[in-house]
Amino acid sequence: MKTALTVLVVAPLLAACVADAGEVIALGSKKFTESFVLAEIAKRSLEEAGFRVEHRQGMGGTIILWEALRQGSIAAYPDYTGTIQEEILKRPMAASIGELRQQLAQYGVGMTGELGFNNTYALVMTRARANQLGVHKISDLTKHPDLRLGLTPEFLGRRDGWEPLQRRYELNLLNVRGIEHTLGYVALLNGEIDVKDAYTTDAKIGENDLVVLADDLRFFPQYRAVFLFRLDTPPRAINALRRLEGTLTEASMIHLNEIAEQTRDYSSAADWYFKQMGRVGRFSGPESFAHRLVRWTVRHLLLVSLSLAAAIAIGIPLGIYASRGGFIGESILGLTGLIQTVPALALLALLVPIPFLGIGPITAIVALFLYGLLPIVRNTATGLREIPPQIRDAAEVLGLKPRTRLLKIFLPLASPSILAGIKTSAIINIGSATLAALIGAGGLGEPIISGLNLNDSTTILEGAIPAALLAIAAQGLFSLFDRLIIPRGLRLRPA
Amino acid sequence: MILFHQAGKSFGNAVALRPTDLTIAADKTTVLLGLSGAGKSTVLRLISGLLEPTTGWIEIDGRKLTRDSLPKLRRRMGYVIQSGDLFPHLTARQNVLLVAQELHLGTGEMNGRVEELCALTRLPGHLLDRYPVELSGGEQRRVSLIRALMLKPHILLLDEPMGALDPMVRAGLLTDLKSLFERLNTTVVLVTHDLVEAARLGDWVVLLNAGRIVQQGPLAEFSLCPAEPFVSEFFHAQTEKLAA
Repeated sequence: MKTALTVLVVAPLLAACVADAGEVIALGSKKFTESFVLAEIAKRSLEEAGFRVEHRQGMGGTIILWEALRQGSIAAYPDYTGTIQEEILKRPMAASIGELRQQLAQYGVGMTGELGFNNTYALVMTRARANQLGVHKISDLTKHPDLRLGLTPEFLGRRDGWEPLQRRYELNLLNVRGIEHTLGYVALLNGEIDVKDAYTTDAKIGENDLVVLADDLRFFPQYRAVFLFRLDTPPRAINALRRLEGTLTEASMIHLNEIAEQTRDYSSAADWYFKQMGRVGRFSGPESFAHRLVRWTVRHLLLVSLSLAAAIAIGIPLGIYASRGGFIGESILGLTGLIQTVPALALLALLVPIPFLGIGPITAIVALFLYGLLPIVRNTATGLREIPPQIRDAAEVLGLKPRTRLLKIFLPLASPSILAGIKTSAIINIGSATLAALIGAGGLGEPIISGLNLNDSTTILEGAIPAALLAIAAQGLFSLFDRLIIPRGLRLRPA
Repeated sequence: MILFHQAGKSFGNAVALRPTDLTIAADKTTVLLGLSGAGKSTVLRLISGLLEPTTGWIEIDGRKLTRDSLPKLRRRMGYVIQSGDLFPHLTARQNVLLVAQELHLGTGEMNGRVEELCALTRLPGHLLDRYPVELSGGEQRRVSLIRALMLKPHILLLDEPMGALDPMVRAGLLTDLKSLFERLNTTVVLVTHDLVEAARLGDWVVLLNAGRIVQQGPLAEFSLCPAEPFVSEFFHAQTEKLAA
């Protein structure tokens, strides 16, 4: 019965997913506005060339995108020459475009020509604070060791980031902490920090009248925007990406970033770009909300149902073992309980480096499976342990085979408890699956993360409300399952 | 015939049944009588193989009771306890037919057997389609009896089968059991603390106290020549209860 129901739920989802997989080019972007906008522009260009494109927004930092590209879960994403040299190829010396391209080819990755602008790192301060302290260039910071710096975690860790910058300028600043990019601007404007890292094409610089500290020792390398793509991408798609080469100046990129942040809509920024280029009309237009919602929800349900099916298939047998107690039984309960104490985000992060997992839906399903295990194992064990001794005696003296006892007597009697465990697990997973978007697995977490990056609550709610509704729907669905699966004799009240 | 050869049972330091010799005659009704904790249920659980003796051994119909012989010997046993031994998720009929189905016995034959046993235990046949929770205590005991008797057991074990029933129902079931045992003509071992049940049903009565057999024989002998003061005390207490 249970298997039948699972198949009933999962099969159409799988079919939808498989049908969806043909002819689609997946693009990735990093977790900041400019990357979103560039990927959106590339998406339009590819659609113009006749491809169906999925844009996986804000998948993470450089390494996550690079791994996703190499594993093939995305076909292309925008990056910068400085990042490629420092973070991906880890070359200390400046390299020409040609040299970079040659080295990338060893990984099966190609690189377009420069899109046109240089988006390098910079340190910024509010104009008032900079004037007050008389800080105009980075070397001025040596005079103010007590300044508070709020730097993005990525900048703090980069080979061309904070550590080497500090050495080059012989800075001795004590008050440095990590803060997420968007929140860092809020902190800077509130005066909670004095200095933060920024990108030179950042719309926030103009908007908030920030001062870019001059790089007087010429520390920052060139960060020329390009697209990285898999060499096995169809040539027509590569050409569509290459049509973007040399079409974006610093000024136009700043403007695009501004549009995106003001309208909180990347596709309107892309609209502006294509209008500028005289290339309007042939793209499919922005994906409608209904279509996006269906795509997110189907993916979300797929993640939850596959992981839940696996958790049921593995969890019930483990629960049966655990119900017998002893060292192994207690170990099973202890171990599954231990997994539950690992924060969902940390579990995802731990799984990403494992071979064959990496970035994408499979890792998310594995993490959700591990997460969903405990309630099912524990409830199966408890349900079985709570079977009254008279019933156990009766089943034994009747001479029923152990298998019959388990399948026909004990499991049906434990079914209310087991089902409650499955329900708990499903509802936990519907919530946890929103984190899957962080590793490019899609689902309703996509708008939540993109909304967090934009500081836009409407976008967050586009994911959060459907996720909450799904959890409520699951609750209802399981009440129905209760009626179907729990034997009638257990649901009756005494006459 | 069931033989105990110095069979006893302890749980750690707690002795439930001291090493005991006991002969339970075939085709008779033997009543194990005693207060709670006397060891009478332990005797029954040892016979049914739910417990393994910690000393001595048990012989049933000439075969030693071991883990290997247990499954076969169990096919000859029916077992009924006070309450709660019916599977609540199955209807009365499913409870009764469960073992027959596992053994792939003929449906027609089994349905005939069910009808026959319904008549013997005086259970209205339509009640078989109810779940245990929808049946009264007396009806549940009858269903449990039918389940125990389905495969024509040589040995019927009953552990306080009337213990959880109210007095009226109990009186009715007692009469029915009496005639049932007479007609079945099989070995019955019944555990009770109730002297009336022992008097009505027992061909042979075994009185236990503190894990030891105090006296055995036809009940009439107990008051005539009590083996030790406990026997008189036990009888006195029960008859006083009757008078009050």
